[in-house]
Amino acid sequence: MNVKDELLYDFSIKMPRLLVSGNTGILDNVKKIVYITDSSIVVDHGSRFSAVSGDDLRIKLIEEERVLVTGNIRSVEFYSGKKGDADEK
Amino acid sequence: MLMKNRGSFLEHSVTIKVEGFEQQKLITECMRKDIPLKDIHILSDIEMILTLMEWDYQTFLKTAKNKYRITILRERGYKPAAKKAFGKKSTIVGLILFALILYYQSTFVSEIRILGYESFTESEIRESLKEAGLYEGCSKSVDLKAVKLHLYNDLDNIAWIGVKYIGNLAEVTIAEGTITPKPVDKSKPCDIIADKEGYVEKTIAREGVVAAPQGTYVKPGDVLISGIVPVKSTAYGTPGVDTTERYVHSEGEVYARIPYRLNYYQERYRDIKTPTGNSLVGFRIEIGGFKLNSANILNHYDNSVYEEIKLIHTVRPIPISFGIVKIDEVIVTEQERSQEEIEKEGNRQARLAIRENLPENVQILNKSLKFSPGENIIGVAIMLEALEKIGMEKEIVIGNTTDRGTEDQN
Repeated sequence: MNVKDELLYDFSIKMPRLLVSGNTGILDNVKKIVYITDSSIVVDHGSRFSAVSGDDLRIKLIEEERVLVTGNIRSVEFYSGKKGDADEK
Repeated sequence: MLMKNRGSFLEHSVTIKVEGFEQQKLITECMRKDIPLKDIHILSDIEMILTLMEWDYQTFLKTAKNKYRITILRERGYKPAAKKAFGKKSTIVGLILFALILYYQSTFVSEIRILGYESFTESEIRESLKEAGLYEGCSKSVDLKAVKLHLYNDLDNIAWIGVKYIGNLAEVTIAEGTITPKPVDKSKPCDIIADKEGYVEKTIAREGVVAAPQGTYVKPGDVLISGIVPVKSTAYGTPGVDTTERYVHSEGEVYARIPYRLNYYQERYRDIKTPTGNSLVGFRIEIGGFKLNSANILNHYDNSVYEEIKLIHTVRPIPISFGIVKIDEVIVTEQERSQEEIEKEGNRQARLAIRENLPENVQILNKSLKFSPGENIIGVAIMLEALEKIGMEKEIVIGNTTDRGTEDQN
């Protein structure tokens, strides 16, 4: 990754950024919680949505636009942007 | 982003149950208001449990408004724990009691360490310390000057005593003096002098002249084997009457009969205790300086026999002693002891006298006991005659006539 790409990545504060490792998932740049159950968590990152699905999902911590999710994470999905947005798919 | 000083979840956190619709909206609102949330557990569409810092609780209530029913389930953190602990009177009393016990136990001696002893045994020193009032379990307020003085008087040849407290440990340091006479250098002339008084029995002079023949009564300092040997010149042309002296390093062994007269006492009458059948049972408790014996309070018998079974006896952390005591009433009658009993006891006292007063490896030549009955006691005079090796080297200082004169006078 060159410097330009890195800078773009760092300043993409409205884009989903997810880190999933084993039973833990870290969702960054979260602006809004859209849907929350123990099997699915959908969050709004500003320009896109992301969803984490699995079993016994729990939000371990919410702090400063970061959501820490624990449980059996089965899948991660990204949804298109909102109507009228440039990146709407 | 400017960080707010909120403390942490460890400091004080509140676990609440939130009941209401659109839980996600409330969580999003909390995110906007920068309220950290922890352990969000969605129970159903209208129920969730979450944890937040107590600092944010009021803001959370304002955010939730009256759309949600909020119930505090529990509070965690060291602040509520401390508040809870100190809020109870029993805890405060317990803490004060603990502090008092800690202070109280620090006022006692729990261990005694003795250092520096050579000729004495540790038990001898411990016994002497106990007599002086310093023992394991005693109060630290014991007069150390008096303890030292007692030790100086009780134990011979003590040059220095140091007692210091290290916490509950009393460290007793002893420096023993040196009284062993240094043997005279082989190259120097010396006499063998008596170190005890007695009758000379046998002298084996390897070097020097016998100064005290058999039967002579000598006192300490008297010359037994002289290092000044008279020499009569027999050389041709030398006047025969001229005598001169030769100084030698005396060597030899001198045995003397040493008399010992020791006085002991015996009881003339023996007490016979006949139980009446009356008795009382009580307890004895000692906690530090506090002593209570219920049997002593209730005891109204003129004559009684005291028995105790020790159940608890600890020194650390606090000296505690507890025992069950029994006091039996008795009638005391006196009976004169038989001659056989008195003689038996006299012989035991003689054996004790030999062990206590005579040096080791001496030959007992004679032993006699003389009983002098008094009103209540019997005096026992023990006469002993022992064959002992006496004599020690003393250097002859040439030209020092005063020294020689002194020895002669002895």
